[in-house]
Amino acid sequence: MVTLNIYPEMAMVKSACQACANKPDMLLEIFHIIQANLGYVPVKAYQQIADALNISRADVFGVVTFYHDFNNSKQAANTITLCQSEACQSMGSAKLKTQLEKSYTVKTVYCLGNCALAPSASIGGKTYGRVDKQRLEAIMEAGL
Amino acid sequence: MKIVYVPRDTASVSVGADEVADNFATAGFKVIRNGSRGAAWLEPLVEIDTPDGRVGFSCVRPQDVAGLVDNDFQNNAPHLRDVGLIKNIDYFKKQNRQIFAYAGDTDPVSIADYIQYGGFLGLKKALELGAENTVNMVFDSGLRGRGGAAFPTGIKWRTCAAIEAKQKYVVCNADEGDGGTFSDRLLMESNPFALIEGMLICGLAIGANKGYIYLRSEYPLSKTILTEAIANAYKANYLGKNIANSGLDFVIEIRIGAGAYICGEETSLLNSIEGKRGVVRAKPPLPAIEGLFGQPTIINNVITLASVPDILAKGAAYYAALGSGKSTGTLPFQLAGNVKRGGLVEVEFGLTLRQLIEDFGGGTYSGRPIKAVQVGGPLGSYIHPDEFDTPLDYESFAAIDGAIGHGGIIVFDDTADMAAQARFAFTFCEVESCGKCTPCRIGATRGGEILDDISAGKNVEANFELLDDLFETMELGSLCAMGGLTPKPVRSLLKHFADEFIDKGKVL
Ligand SMILES: Cc1cc2nc3c(=O)[nH]c(=O)nc-3n(C[C@H](O)[C@H](O)[C@H](O)COP(=O)(O)O)c2cc1C
Ligand code: SF4
Ligand code: FES
Repeated sequence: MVTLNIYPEMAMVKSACQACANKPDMLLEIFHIIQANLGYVPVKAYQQIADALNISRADVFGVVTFYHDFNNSKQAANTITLCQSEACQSMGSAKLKTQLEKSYTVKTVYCLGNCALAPSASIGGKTYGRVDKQRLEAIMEAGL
Repeated sequence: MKIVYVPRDTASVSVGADEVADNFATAGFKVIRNGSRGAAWLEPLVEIDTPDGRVGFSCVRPQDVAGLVDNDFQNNAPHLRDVGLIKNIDYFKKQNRQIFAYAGDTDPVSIADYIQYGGFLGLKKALELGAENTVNMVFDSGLRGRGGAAFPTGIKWRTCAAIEAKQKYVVCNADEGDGGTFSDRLLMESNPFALIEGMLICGLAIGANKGYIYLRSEYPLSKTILTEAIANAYKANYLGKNIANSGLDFVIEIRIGAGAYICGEETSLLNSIEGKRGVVRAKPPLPAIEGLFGQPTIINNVITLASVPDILAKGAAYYAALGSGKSTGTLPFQLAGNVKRGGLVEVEFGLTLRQLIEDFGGGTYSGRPIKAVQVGGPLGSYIHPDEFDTPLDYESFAAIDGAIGHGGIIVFDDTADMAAQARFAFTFCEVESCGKCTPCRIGATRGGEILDDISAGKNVEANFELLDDLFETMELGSLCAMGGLTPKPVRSLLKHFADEFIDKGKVL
């Protein structure tokens, strides 16, 4: 099938598929590459990926929406990803979330594997342990 | 140039190890980024060589580096964080470390370091023994899967080895989704060659030449370290063709998950590697018979595979003598949450929960009394202090309706809201269910609603009855343990903390 709609990220998406040899079993990796580049997986890319991998758009849609990691629009720049699994809960992560929500976009993750230094957060792909409001504010200020 | 060791694992880095390393480098030191020893409460644990062995300084902050350097690391320096000789630290001395024995001593991506400490002796033995006797050795060791279900590894391997097929696969389950667990992560970041060697031995044993490591996306640093280790293994011909001139071929590919807890379930994981939705497959067929891309596949947890080299090198009898009863060997337990000395504690099965959380953990981080401890991940039970003398082995925990699972131990102090924890069990299942079967997909949502009603004081008695019914439906009717075991933590909370479920302010 020929994709007629043209959009700015087409070349990037094409190269992501090519980097994975257009293999259907590499679909998650393709999404990861696109998201690393653009910050999200554009809805417009679904058909293009489907064509490249010779699968249906429904397959692409089904997979991209199954996994929590992938989003179809850009994340806010002031996003903090906060662990809300049990070890972090025991150290007050729920309360911390409420505190942070006043000034930041807070995303939930279930465990960062840093459970002995709870509560934990992830910012820009880096994990921070023993966090509290002050420390996270300082990290965000330094990074933004 | 003077050498200083600064660990590079996620936990150390999460509290500033990179900045500490940078400061030492600027001060003119040669910095070796070693693996972490897993005592998270001491991180970043900076070490230097002395004639008696490594000496450590704990919880070093970037701003502490100058002081350490100025005092030339003297033991009599006015430095509060001097922990002395590493080998004399109680926390390590009281463990029985097998797979984590050299974690921290080595640079995790150095093959030379790995070999210096006995690396690849297991592979050598397996090559001598041949496939069938290697499987027998694993069988005789009594090793059981460390991913959660504790299924005997030898039986799984035997099933797969017996099948004729053009292509077989070894898949390592590095999805480690359970809250409160990090032993897979630490293994991959501190001793990754043990995993690579374990996969090689498995490949040899079942006749597979390709392995996949399915790694969760939440562990970016594990990916970096593992990728370096794999590249070094290829360079040294421990991966690739004709490995160590043995005629054995084996390659390993890393695949990254995408934030779905259910992809830790083995059949869902296979679908995910195939680029599909991580929906659970019905069993049979067992993956050992029909797994990845329809081919016979061994799926084992990181710790299971990393335990194998030692079993081969030291013998099945050596391993089987460790532990208690049918729980042979050691388990790297993970002390997490509200605990003073959190970290990885590798001990033989059979220690009591109390010994672990008191002797090793030192009680709560907050200093308050312990209210309960969740053992075995989100699908495991909350254990009441009355039960703390239970020995940590698979059978003893089953006897108190608990589970060891992947060995995660999460401590809660007396301020914890147990009804909220029960509510979370359902929320988690609702968010993470793969959606294939009704008892789990709908049950999780309904369970949460029922708990909300109960806490609001609505039809409490009828709702408790309904909840009991729902438990049974989920336990008996779910396709996998996600739906089947979600009632487990809730049941344990109801057993011990029933009075907390109804908001005291509301009238019945
Ligand atoms: C909901 C669910 C999640 C699971 N998550 C994991 C996991 O994160 N890591 C893991 O090794 N096993 C996990 N398992 C267990 C696997 O299905 C499987 O039993 C295991 O990978 C087999 O390896 P083992 O025998 O070495 O433990 C999970 C099972 C279920 C039902
Ligand atoms: S129990 Fe839940 S996670 Fe497991 S197959 Fe059913 S819907 Fe999927
Ligand atoms: S539970 Fe929060 S990092 Fe593991």
